Amino acid sequence: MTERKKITKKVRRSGRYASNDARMVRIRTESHGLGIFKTLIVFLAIALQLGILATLYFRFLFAFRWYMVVSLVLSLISCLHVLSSNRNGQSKAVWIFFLLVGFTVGYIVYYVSDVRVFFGRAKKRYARIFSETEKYKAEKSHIECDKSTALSMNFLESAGDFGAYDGTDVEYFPSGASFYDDVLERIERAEKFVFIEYFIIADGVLLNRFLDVLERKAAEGVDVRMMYDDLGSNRTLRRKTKKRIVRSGIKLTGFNRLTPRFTVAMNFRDHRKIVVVDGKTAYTGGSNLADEYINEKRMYGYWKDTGLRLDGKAVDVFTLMFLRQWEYVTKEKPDYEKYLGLYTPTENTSAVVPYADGLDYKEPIGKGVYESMIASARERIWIMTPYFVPDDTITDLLAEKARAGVDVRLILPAIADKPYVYAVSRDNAERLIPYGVKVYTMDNSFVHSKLLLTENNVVVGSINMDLRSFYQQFECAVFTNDPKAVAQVADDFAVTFGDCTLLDGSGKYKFIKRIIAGVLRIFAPLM
Amino acid sequence: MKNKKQRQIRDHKNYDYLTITAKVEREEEIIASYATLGWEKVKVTEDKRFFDLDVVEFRRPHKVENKDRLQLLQVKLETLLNTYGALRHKRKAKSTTFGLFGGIFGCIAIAAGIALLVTEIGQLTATIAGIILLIAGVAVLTVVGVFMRRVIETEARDYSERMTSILNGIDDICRQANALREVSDDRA
Repeated sequence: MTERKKITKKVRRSGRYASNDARMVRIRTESHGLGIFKTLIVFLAIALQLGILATLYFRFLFAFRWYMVVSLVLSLISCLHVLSSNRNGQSKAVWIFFLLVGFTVGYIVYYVSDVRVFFGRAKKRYARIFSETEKYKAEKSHIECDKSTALSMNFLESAGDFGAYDGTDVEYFPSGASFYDDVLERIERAEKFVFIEYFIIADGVLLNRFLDVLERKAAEGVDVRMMYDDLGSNRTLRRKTKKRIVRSGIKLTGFNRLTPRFTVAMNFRDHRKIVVVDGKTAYTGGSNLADEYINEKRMYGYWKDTGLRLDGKAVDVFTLMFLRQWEYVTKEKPDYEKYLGLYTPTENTSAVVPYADGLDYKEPIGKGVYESMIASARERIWIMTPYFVPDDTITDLLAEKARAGVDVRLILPAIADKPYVYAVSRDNAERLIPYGVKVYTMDNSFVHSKLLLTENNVVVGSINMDLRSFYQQFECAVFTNDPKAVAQVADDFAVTFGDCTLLDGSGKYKFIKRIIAGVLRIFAPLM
Repeated sequence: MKNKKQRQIRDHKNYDYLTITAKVEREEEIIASYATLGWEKVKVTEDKRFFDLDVVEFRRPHKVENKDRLQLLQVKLETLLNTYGALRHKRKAKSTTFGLFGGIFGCIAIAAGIALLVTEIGQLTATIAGIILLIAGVAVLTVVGVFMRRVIETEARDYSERMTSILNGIDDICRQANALREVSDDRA
């Protein structure tokens, strides 16, 4: 019997078919389809509420035609308010467009979206927490440094009261896998407390590795606390796992819980990534607690991520950051003194400035740090970011610096996780090419790192170079001039350039892509 | 339940695990390619739905030197393997499309021309249109016949070049992976 006949006989017996998939290899990753039901319920509930509101509103509108004139006048007044506000140019353009085109509802949405309206009470609570915990801040160090470092440090001091600290060792990790191996080793040696705060905590191999250690530590009496963002972790963390975590004695809480109630505040998320162990070691970076970040689950090609470890004085900033957020979410006041001042200062004299960003601060600190670093750079500005949707200040600065001869390079992913954001990111980046900015895409990879490197300084953290991170999310990062960290990051960039394709701004369907990006740019503040 | 049992017997602290679906016809080469990245074959089972696919489970020690680089090479390998598969799937697409559409169009034109000539006898316009369609149909079939061989040869040449490039790429990745692992073996 020929091979073909054997196969046909086998098929008839087994009822199996030939696959139509041309792929030679397909990675099998387990997906649970978690949280789809909950997300659907929430979405439908919000859609229903909006539908009811819209119906009532438009019935009112058509019943009283004069109201159209009133709403146009109110929208025009709102436009004037937008023009005189401190918003960035892009945000102003989007708001004015929306107010004029949707004048019947524009001014209502504008009013409701104002931070002072929907976030007023929360801001007061944050302000109270900040003032009560001011006394627990570690004493800032006086550090001699070059002018470019001093500029960024001064900005952080004046904008957010973030001081610089010496006595802190810094270690950089060029991948999620190496980063989390180190985190787990450190947690194994935890004696007093472990604080974990992530945007995404996901069921999988990595979380199981964490829980194996954390459950043991909790049983030993270590104070283990985990905080996740309820939207970020909505579809990734099962209720069963949450119960397991709580049962083992680990304190668990979710930030800004998803509710089936329409509220603008739902848009504002905790994007931070923090691990603090015993007040002596802190970790931050781009990685969330999920398998794709260590490449044990395939989502968008190779997942490029990075992280940073601090040992020493600056760790207290992350401890305080975590505890303040914990107090805000749980409304329970922790005993701050018990968790602070436990660090062991090292001999390092470099400046390390951990900082936070979010609606609890008056201005966008993450954006400001990027701007000050770019403005003061003289030799190089190397950026790695998954999304490139900043406002005009940053793009103009990068263009000017490239024109002035500074080596400006930008690494983006080659594979998109969100096609609509990627379209705008690529368009924004390619517009800089004529000015001399080198734009790269990392082949076969999704770049999730958030890095900015100049000749002397580096920022590693959770802050994407996009408007969402700048204005709508709680973020954290570390600014440092530590030569070892700067060299490690520079080496990582050098290796990564070898895995990248340099874009030249040409390509098919350029005009159509530009039109699409132009339309999508209207929604850039939401991306 | 079965997946739960599988998860329970896996030692995730000391090993990483990988499960793939691989085309049976190239299974040996695929497993050998993954072996260069440090993956050890654990189990091969038949796919439940497709007879030309097998499910292959691998494992690798969790702590591996040059792991980041090996992970990136793995993605590149998978991309090349799937490009190879896609190319094989479409290897005669151009010539088939050319032949099929050309042939169908030619035959339709001839048939339409004959139909017009036969049914509309005496009608000058119909006769002229019928003759034109006949000539067009014959011309198309002639062109397809004359150029078909060239299209097939060009397609085969392009296919061969691209396949060679892909296979060289796969070999190169395997060499790099071996080199990285030899470095780590030497150090150990």
